[in-house]
Amino acid sequence: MISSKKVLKIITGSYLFLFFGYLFLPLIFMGIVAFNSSSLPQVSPWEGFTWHWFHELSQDSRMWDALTNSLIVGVSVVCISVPIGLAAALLLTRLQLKSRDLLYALFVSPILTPGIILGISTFLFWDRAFAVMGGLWTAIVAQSTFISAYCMLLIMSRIQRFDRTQEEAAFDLGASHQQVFFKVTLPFLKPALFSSVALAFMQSFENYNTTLFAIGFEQTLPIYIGTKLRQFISPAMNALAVIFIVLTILGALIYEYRRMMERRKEAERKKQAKALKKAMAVQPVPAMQGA
Amino acid sequence: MGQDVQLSNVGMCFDEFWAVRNVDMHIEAGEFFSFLGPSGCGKTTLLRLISGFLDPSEGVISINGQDMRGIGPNKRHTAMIFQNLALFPLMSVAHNIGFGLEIKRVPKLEREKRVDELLELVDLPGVGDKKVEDLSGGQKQRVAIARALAVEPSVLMLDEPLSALDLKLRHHMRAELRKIQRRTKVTFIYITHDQGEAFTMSDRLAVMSDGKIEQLGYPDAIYNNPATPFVASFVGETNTFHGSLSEIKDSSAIIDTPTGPLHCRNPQNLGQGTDSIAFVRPETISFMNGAQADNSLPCTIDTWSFEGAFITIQLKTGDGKPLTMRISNRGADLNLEPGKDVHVAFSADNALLLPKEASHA
Repeated sequence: MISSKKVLKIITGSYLFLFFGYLFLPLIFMGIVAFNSSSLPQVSPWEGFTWHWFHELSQDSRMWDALTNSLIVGVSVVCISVPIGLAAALLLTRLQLKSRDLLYALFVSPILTPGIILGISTFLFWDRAFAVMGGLWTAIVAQSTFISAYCMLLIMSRIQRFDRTQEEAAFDLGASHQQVFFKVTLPFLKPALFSSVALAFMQSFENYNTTLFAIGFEQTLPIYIGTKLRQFISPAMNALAVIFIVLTILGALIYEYRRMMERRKEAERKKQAKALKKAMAVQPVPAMQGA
Repeated sequence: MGQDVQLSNVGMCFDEFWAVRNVDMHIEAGEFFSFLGPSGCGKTTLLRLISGFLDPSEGVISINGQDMRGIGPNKRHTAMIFQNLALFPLMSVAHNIGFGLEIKRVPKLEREKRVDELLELVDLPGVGDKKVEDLSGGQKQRVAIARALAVEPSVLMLDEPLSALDLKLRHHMRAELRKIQRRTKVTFIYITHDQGEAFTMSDRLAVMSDGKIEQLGYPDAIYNNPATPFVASFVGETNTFHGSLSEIKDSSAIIDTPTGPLHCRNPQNLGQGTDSIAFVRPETISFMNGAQADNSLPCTIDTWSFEGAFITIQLKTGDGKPLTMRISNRGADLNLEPGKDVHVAFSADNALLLPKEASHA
């Protein structure tokens, strides 16, 4: 007889196996292709190990241009979206406006609008209104419309946990409004600001549909890949994918490691603090102590 | 050193609601002054007016003779200790305390020295590099006090800072606050709904209700000679007898109540026929011991509770009115039984007569 515990274990195990297989098998296959010397992207027949596709990729000047464009657009989007998101978050959490809900809906609406529409409308607007042709600038603006909304939501969730009497206390202690903001409010929001920088960059870097319709004849990396795949299939694209997968995994590992170290430090500090609290506990007060 | 605060006809109106009305008073330099009142009586609004977070809708606030209109909280010589303390969680204890000095651009070395002195003052030496969250409630309290004192305020305002502490710590901190106030000679303005706190710490206090000051005076005067029915019933416990004033003798008066005629003290010289209330504190009522008394009432014992130092007895008068008396425990067996008939007495001096309609002159 198999115990029910064992059955459960088997079921859970096979579920997890299938789940992770579903997630990672395509990536693994795709990765293997990058090292197969066959000129068609395929796993079998295996024609021998090669670094050739990576070399070919590195020789592709258009890929480098697209990557540079992606970095320019990403950094610009961060520079525009994070301040706008911060300002919107502050506005929505502070002002007791009757139109607050309306403003919120307005700020969030780009997230709900299909990306293609954001791209096309930005492209047309700049073309018609200012005679500015589609290019990196329009791509940056189009992406920022919805990415700043993501940043706003992220920062808002942090602000809602902020105790505003801290600002009053700083103000009361002589700080100017600017000093209150930079010494008290902003440090509290720092984690949310870092996350929105990361989120904004990644959202921009991987964006395809909005960018495609806004960017005119320029190319970012996702658009370059999309165009390339439509023209002819080369394992060089698999090589590019392998590089990004490796970078992502490395990033995640570093992040996890740092978090682990921080948690260890925090636990150590808590232990010391507890000992201190015990040592410094208030001595029992005589019952009738006079004022 | 402390500075005085003058409030001249101060009023504060929020959307047609007057949170504070006609406050006209003076707080002496170096005084420990308390505002006592139930929640919603306007005392926190008053504190925010004095510290500058609000501008009065009418009237003038001056500190040390200087009109405070148009001067923000960051430019006033006041500091506030908030109800939730509002310590900066991301800064160390020392950084918290030194914050005001950092804003004033006090050089780092001097700042560190000052922080150490303040930690010494509030009995927390050596915790400067700790995080705020690692401190206990009482320790956080002291850090908040040190942080406010660091900017050397002339007036320190405290918004119910002890309400989050447990009873024992609260009693300890009362004495501690008083000590710090005496040592620094800063004017303390303290806000509380706890009369024990107000009485034990304050030089003088004001009882507030509905945005107005009901009575201002020394703690004993407020307890013994409440000026309005609100003060009489809000401060301490009391029994009330409603009735109409029927007879005036030179120093006392007699009112007719459903329980019977009562001899009362009439400090406000109410006239005959006035609808009035007699207030009698439970601790001024005693059992009849044969001697003559101004007022004696036949009662039955309803319940009683033993509270250690004293015993609280719930009685019912002849007409069924509940009456509370409190006697100190002298160790003797009082033979208290529910249902037992007793006679209780109180003097006319201890029955304070006030008009039913409070007159706010």
